[in-house]
Amino acid sequence: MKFERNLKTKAAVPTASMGDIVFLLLIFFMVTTVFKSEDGLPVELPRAESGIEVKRDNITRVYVDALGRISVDDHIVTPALAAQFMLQRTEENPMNIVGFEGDVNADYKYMDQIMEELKKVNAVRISFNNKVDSAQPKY
Amino acid sequence: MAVKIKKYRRPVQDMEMSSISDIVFLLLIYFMVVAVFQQDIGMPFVLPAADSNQDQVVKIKESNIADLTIDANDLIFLDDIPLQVNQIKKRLEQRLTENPKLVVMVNNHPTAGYGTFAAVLDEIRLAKCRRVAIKMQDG
Repeated sequence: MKFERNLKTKAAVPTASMGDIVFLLLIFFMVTTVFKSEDGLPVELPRAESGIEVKRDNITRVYVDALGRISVDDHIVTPALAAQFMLQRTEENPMNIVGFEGDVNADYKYMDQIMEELKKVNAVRISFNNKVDSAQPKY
Repeated sequence: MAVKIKKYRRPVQDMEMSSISDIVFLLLIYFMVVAVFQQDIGMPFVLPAADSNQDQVVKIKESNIADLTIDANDLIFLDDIPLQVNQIKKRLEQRLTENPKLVVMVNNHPTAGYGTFAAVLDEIRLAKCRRVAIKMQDG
């Protein structure tokens, strides 16, 4: 007697739970992803009413703290070095804006020094970043 | 005669779960659309470029200049007359109606506070003064 071998075995991976797995992975990576962010320096921004929104993609921040330290891209730099970095950024993106994150108690001369260097490298678009809060007393 | 009593079976109370994912997606999409990324707020300013040659330098009539000086003690003077931060807007608005070609020249002492400068710049912007120059320390 000849037995017929059943050759038509269906091999299939159940895919119904694929969606669950994908979602689990998605959620896992969403939760564990840390976006690169600039720490800068701790500064107390001046308060101003006339500030307008500046596009984040175009801004490169220069932190100047109350002690006069200047930080660009998380490095403590001199005004000349800050300007060199801004030159690079302006070449990459002509719409680049140098955003001054200056402490209210910082001396004005640091801004002046940076602006002087910025002028030399033609990074002329700047912005004095501030907080919008009219309730607080002005300096 | 035996009477068969039907056992009372409690109906299984099941919540309808199949539409949960739809609801979750709707919420997810809603919050994705509504979310606004934090923007930088600042007072934009354009510095004069270093490569602007002497022919392009605009000479301003003395009578069109309003000289705003901040001294080492953060005292503010408009054309040598001392005034408070909150008076600047009003005074500049007056000057602007008298002379629409008015150019405000901000002249800072190196050790003047950056906070004072920012507050002054804010007032100038609030006065809708479009022509502002910041005097650099070395010319």
